[in-house]
Formats: sequence, structure tokens, C-alpha cells
Amino acid sequence: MTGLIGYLKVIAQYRKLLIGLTLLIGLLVFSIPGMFFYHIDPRSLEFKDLQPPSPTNPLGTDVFGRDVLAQLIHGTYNSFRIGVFAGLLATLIGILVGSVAGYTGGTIDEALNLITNTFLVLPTLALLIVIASYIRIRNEFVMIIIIGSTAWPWTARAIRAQVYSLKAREFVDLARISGLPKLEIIFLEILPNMLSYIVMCFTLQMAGAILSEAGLSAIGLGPTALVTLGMMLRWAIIWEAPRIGAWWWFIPPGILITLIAVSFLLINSGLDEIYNPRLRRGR
Amino acid sequence: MDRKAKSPALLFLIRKAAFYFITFIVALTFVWLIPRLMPGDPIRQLVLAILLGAGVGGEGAGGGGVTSQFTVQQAKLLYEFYVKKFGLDQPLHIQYLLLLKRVFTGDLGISIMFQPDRVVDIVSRALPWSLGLLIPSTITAWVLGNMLGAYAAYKDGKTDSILYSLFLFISQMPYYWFALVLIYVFAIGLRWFPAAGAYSVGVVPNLSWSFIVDFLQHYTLPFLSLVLISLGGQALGMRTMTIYELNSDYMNYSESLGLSDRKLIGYAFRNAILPQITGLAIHLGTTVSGQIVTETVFGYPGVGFIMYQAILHADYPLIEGSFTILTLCVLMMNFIMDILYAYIDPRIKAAYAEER
Repeated sequence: MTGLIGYLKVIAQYRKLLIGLTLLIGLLVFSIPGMFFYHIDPRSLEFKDLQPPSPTNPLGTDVFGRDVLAQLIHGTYNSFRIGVFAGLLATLIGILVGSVAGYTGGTIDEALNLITNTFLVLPTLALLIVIASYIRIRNEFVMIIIIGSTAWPWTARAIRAQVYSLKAREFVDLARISGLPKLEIIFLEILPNMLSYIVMCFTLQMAGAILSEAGLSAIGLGPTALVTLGMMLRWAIIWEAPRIGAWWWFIPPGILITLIAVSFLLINSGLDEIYNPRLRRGR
Repeated sequence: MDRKAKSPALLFLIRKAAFYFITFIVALTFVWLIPRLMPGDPIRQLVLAILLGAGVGGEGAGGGGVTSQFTVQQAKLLYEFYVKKFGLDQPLHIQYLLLLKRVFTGDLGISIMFQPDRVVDIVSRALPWSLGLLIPSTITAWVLGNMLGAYAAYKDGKTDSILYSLFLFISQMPYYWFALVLIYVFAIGLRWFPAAGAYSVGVVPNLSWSFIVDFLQHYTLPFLSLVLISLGGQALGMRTMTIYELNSDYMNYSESLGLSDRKLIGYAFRNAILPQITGLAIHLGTTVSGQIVTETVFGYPGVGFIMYQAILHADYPLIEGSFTILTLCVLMMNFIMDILYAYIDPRIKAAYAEER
């Protein structure tokens, strides 16, 4: 209990982290419990189309007569899920590639580095388009795999640099002298020491994955039968929501996507301030 | 003597060129590999797409209406034609080499939706529109972003907090969503600018004043949406870099020597801007991604919009051709940045001189 209070005290000192976490929790509360309190089915076409906000539809309806608020609630949850799992996948691949490269060095390092840098300069969305265009039915799983498997290079690069600097420390030398196998040194000695850094990479990856999902959806390569914030924007683009003047339809999903990404970024730079005192300034 | 002084930078550039070449080969390998890894038969889909004009977007966009004229026999012939054309009756490694050969001789195949136009021609026609949007907006965003970022870092306090939040928010907005908002406010609401296209319908591009005015009117909104969002990211990076520099030992030392603020910020700025140049190159891929979607929203006739139409019509040669040419452009721009960087940063020369 005192441990928890201690954590909360630390968090309260760092404004960015505090705001980021509050925002994130707020968004989660909006979507997950929201689904239980707000009973309207996001895919039901029961309402009149293109209604502005009213007591029955607090955020109006779209061109098909679907309730916008219900779509937002479910869409936020689905976008979050894709973001978390795709971010997780990208982080895991990044850790694997980065730590093996950084620790092993030599030819393996150079080869992995080459692959990482190659992926870094390729226009990712264009690559995703080529991949996604071949998959006719794109469910959540497919989205997670294709986004996660193209987003890892940033993390790999960052992790590699960290591992590279950590491997010169005494405790790693000690582990090496005592004959621990290479993988054990990487995963049990080095990586736990950079957990905070890994968490930071993860937050960035989640923000990136949610934006990727939104981007892919916007050009018609999003999940085929899932309500996500990106797919909401997709429909708004196709039916030219701005031209119809249906602001309640296209403004909220964009704000939510932005807020999700911002919350992850704030958490990231808040953590950065904690672990990197050079960035701190008058609080 | 002369050779020795020049070669480190040259060596750096040769290595970079080799790297970009490999990257391009990797991109082509993806183009080759992806259809072969995917479940289903792409040729079958291709033939179906030609016959039905169906889309992969899942929304059934596109033409149709030609179905009944085609018999099974014709479909079979078409199928065999494509199998032969893509060399799918050959062993895998030959297929791969054939693809490389085709690409390096400038043959990216024939578009399905714009038959009989060649993919290379279609994309080359669209490319100037894309570059005309990408390059000015990126440079503008970079210059403004760096100035604002350095300003925020220098100001500290409330100004910094406000600017930081602003940068953060705009850098995370989905490009095309911001584009929608701009269309809603400036094209539909205020009617200041047109909502779509690169010039008015029915106008033929020419060099008259009226066309230039028309072009600029169409240019403003896509340009603004790209500038503002890249600006956020650039400013965030520059702000962090400048704070790092302002807190460094040499800064404290110079300050204690009594150097003027102007001079101090000048030093900090010069040191902070270097990584920003690499940052510009690294973010180019992301910017291009954003541009693809932005062009789609504005119906701007660049490569992104072509790609979007190709997706709707399952025009695989055009999708892959656009990807190939976009990648080539990004790599070339990266290389230009490297040349610039080698010229500006003396440490690059030093590092490569040491290695030898």
C-alpha cells in the first residue's frame, strides 16, 4: 500500500505523466464502461439518417442512420485494442531484433541493422497498402499482424542503442564470466534493466499503431467488419461529411484518435522526464 | 593529397548509395513476395477484377456492367495470358529475376483500370503534383517547426507549456482528418478555397495567370494541412534538442563567461539543428504516408490519389507500380539529404577519415 502511494506521489510530481494517464483512463472509461451504459448498437440502422445531435442521439446519426455516439464508444474500444496488440507485436519484434543486434555485434549486428534501416526509410503506409490490398477479408487479427510487423524498426533501433551501451557495464561482464548463455544474459540481465525504456517504446508504438489503423482505414483498407475510429472517418470521407455539413459525424472520431495518441505521447515524455533528468525543467 | 582530403565524405556517400540500392531491391522483393505469400490466387483475382471491375475496398466501388459479354473461355484465355505475362510458369528464382529485370528497364506493367496505359506513364504524370505538394510543404514545415520549437525551448515557462501542448496535439492529428476540418471550415463554410482537385474542372493546365491563380487556390488547403501536421513533429523534436543543448555543460560555462543571450541561443540552435536534418530524412517516409491519404481526401491528382483509385479497382499493377516509384523517390530524397548532411556536419568526414 505504501508502495502504491509512493508511486502515486512520484506520478503527481510529473505533470505530463499525470495528464497523460488521466487522459488515457478517461478515454478507457468512455469506451469500456460506456458500452454497458449506452445500449445502442453501433451498427443498427434504426434511426433517421444525418440527424444533428438530439436527446435520442446525443451526437447525431450518420448517413446510414447509425448512432454516432455508439460508434464512437465501440470504435474507441476497437481502435484501442488494435493499437495495444499491434503496438505490443511491434515492440516485441523490435526488442528481439534490437537486443540480439546490440548484444551480438559483428556481422549479425550489421545484417540486422541493415534490415532495420531498410524498413525505416521505406514509406510504411505505401507498403501496408500493398500488403492489405491482397487481403480481402481483414479482421482485427489481420490488422494487428500487418501493422505490428511493419512498425518495429523504430523500436529495434532504440533498443539496440540501449543494449549496446548496457553491455559494457560490470554486471553484464560478471554474467558473461560466470558462463551464462547469451540469450539468458540478454533477456534476464540486460532487458530487465531497461524496462522503463521498453515501456516508453511501447507507448510510442501504441500511438503509432492507432494512427496507422486510422490511415489504412481512411483509404479503404481498414478492418472489413469492425467499427473503429478510422472506419468512421472512412465513411465520413466517402460520403463527404464536410460537404453535407455533418460536423457531428466527422469531428469527434478525429478528436478521439488525436487524444488517444496524445495521451500515449504524454505518458512517454513524462516517463522520459523521470528517467532522464536533463529534460526536467522548472515544475 | 587532394584525394585524401576528399575521400572520407565520398566514402560516406558511396556507402549510403549502396544502402539505398539494397533498400530498393528489398522493396522490390516485397512487391514480388507479397502476392506469393498471400492466400488465394492473385491472377484469378486480377482476371475477375478485369472482368467485373470489382474493388478490394470491400465497398463494391467501381464500374461493372461488362460481365455478361465475357465467357468462361475468354476468362481462361485471359488467365493463361497473365500467367505467361508474369512468367508464373517459370521457376521461382527466374520469376524474381524477371521482375527485377522488368523494373530496371522501366517496365512496371499495364494498368487494369486505365488500359492500355502503362503504369510508369500514369505514375509519372501524377508524380509532379505529388512532389509539388510534398517538397514545399516539408521545407516550410521544417523551417517553421524548428523556429517555433527553438523559441518554445528558449522561452520556457508558460509560453513553452502552451506551445508544447499545441505542437503535441497537432503532431498527433490524423492528416486527413485535419484535411476534412479544413474543407469544412474554409471550403464549405467560408467558401474561401475549393474543396477538391488541383485545378477547376474543365480547365487545361497552362501557364496563364488565370490558371496559376486557380492552381494556387486549389493548392492552399492541401498544402496547409500537410504543413501544419509535419510542423508539430518537427517543433517537438527541435524543442527537446534545444532544451538538451541549453542544459549542457558548455552552455553553463559560456553563460558564466557572460556571453550574451543572443550568442548562447545561436550556439544552442546550431547544435540542435544538426540532428533535425537527419530527422527530416527519417520522417520523410511518414510524411509521404500522410500525403497519400491527404491527396485522397482532397482528390488531388498525385500518386497517393492514383494509389487510392487503384485500391478501389483492385488494380494490382498500378498499386505496386505506385509503391515502387514512391519508394524510389523517397530513397533519392534521402540520398540528397545525406549529401547535404555530409557537407554540413564535419563529424561525418572525421568519422570516415578515422575508420580508414
